[in-house]
Amino acid sequence: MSTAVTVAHKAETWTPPVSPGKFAMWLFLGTEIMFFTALIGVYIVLRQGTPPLADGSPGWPDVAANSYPLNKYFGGFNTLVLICSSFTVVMAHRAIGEARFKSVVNWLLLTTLLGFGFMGIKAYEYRSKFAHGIVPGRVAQDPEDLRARAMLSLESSLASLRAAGQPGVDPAPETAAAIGVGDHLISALRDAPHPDGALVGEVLHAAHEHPALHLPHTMLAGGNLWASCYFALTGFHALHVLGGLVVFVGIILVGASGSLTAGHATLVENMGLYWHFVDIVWIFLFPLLYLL
Amino acid sequence: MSDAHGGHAGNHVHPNYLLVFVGLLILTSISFFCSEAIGSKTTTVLLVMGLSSLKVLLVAMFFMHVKFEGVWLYVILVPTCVIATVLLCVLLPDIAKVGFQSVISGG
Repeated sequence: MSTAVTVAHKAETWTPPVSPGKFAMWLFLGTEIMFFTALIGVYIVLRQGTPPLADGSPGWPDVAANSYPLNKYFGGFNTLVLICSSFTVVMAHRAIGEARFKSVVNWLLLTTLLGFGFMGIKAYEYRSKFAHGIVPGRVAQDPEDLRARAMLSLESSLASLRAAGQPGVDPAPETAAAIGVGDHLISALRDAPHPDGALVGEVLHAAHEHPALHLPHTMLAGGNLWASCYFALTGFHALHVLGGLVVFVGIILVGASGSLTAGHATLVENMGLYWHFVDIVWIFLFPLLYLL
Repeated sequence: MSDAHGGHAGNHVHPNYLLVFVGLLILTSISFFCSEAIGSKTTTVLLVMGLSSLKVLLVAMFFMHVKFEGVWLYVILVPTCVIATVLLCVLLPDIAKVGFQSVISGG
């Protein structure tokens, strides 16, 4: 009888160690660890597994080369931004625990601004990749690949440019210049036994000078696989950043309306955990993509 | 170094976050500049990834409060991290296989 009373008493007073929401968040983060480990693992396998070219040069873009598509200063600055945002979000968590709700809004506002700063730099980097044609499937891997891609593009582009002109009317100067360069390149590429450095440079220069020719903008060994990995890794990470920012904006709006209470503490804590995880993923992505 | 308070989110120990933040900045700076300064590629990889792991440890332990949580969290985290590590390890033979192929093909 006495034992039964004790057990009943314990059942009444026992509380779980954490809120169900926090427990669920950690379980979610566990699945996220697996997801990003798989992504990063695949990147390492593809990178290490790519054999060197026949002439001994690396088959994967070399981070130390001038042609490497990423600027480590942008990556380093973004790392700094995310670390700062990790600090501000943990300060927001601390503030809500001490019922300083105005402070919570300020810290979260700072976190959100930093998050948007990260996204802005990432958007700039993406724009630069698109501008240079560093998109999966569109990068020429070597001179022969460049020749094949350029010939295909030139044949269709020149036909389109000529078809667009009206009979008896001279084409616009830029169109005429593009047709002239295109005709010269197509015969040079056809006649060359092997496209040398000068011809490759001519094609890449023409790609920038005459966009109407739709020539490949970049020649990079392993560039297509590299671009696939880069966009997959950073794209999924950026989506996570975006998701976090949406929730932060929601909490800030609640705070701005004066409705933030101690009841929101678990939400702020869970979002903090999520944001720190996003930071952790970037801490690994930064050296793997920008430094090593 | 740390203080505690009660709240609706439970009892939390708050370490000196500013100190952790400064530590993270220092480690980031070291890894950024060491990536060029060290000659051997293997040494650079080990150093930079080691520093990154240390940064992750700081964020997880102090910012995510893993250090102050109970056993329940380790029940979630330890198997996940072990499986994640095993996943990377089982992928390694694929990496080695390419080296093997280049050897047999004389590459």
